[in-house]
Amino acid sequence: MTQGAPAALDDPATHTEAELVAAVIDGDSQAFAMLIKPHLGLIYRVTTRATGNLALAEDAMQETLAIVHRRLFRYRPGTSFKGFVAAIAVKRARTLLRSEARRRRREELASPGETPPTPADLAAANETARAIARALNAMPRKRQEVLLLRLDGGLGYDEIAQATDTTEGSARVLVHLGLRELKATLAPHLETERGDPDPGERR
Amino acid sequence: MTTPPDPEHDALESELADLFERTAKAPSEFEHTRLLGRAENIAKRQGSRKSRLQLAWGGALAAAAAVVFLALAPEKPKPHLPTPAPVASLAARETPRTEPSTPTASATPTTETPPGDLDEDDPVATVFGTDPDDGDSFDLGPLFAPSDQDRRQTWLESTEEVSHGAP
Repeated sequence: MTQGAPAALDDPATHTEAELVAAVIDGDSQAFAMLIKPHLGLIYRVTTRATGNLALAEDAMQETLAIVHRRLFRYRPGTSFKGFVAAIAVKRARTLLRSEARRRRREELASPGETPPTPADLAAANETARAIARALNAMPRKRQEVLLLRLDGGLGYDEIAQATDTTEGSARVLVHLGLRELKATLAPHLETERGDPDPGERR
Repeated sequence: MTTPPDPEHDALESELADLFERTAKAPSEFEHTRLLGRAENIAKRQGSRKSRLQLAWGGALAAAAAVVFLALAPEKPKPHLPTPAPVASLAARETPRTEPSTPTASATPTTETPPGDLDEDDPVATVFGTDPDDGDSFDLGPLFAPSDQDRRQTWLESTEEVSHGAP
């Protein structure tokens, strides 16, 4: 064995999260794959939701994986690893979306006219998903983050509080405000989902 | 502190959670495997935190050592600046400007001897390229007295001038 090579775990699948984290910090790449495997679905879901664009979501996933690995030493054992990962995924997706929006604005200014949607865009979202993405993007940053962590990440308020560096009470309030805002924006979609043809008749 | 249950909030959350669930995207089996492979590649590429720290510290220490070396290195005279000249050499440089210049023997053009006439066995001829008997090519200055023959020649010329100039 060469000097400085990580001591790989014999069977990473049988180890606890804390052991896997320690092994990853020590340089075991297989342990990282095992550690992140249960959370790949969450990363995928959160990034596609936040960006509303598969190509951007791909970049966000890639960067999320890199950041999770690089900042793993900041993870405090005993806290929710799922929350740690989800918070990074949400923030990364938001950042990429903002830079993409800036790029598009620059391009539109340079050459007026609508850019045709890419095949990835077309495949990415149906109308409801697009409406959700629009509503989320119109919200303040913190409110959007906690909603994504709550509704897509399925995190508890304590986990959200840890992930967003706030208190549980604040997380609860932010989620509540976000839900009310979403309800107002997505009312037509909620009625359609309920199968109510004329929302005006319901009282 | 526990928050009292809010049925309205819970109903709203449940309704929106359903909507989110229905519109959520999940990775296919292929995408899942690809993401897993990527995660492993990222971990391999980024290495351990220990090795990253070692690299960072190594670089920082090297930079600090370079700064310390540059700060403590003995200062050398800069080549483009003139060095302070000693007083004696300054005076020597000033002298020719104050005195009228007198033609010296060295200023007179010397006639070159064809190479064929040189005595190759004579070391002086070898060094200077001329025959030592070819005349006074060099002014050796006041420290070197002229030869007796020259002195005699000078005396004869001066007596001639006196005799010609006499009434």
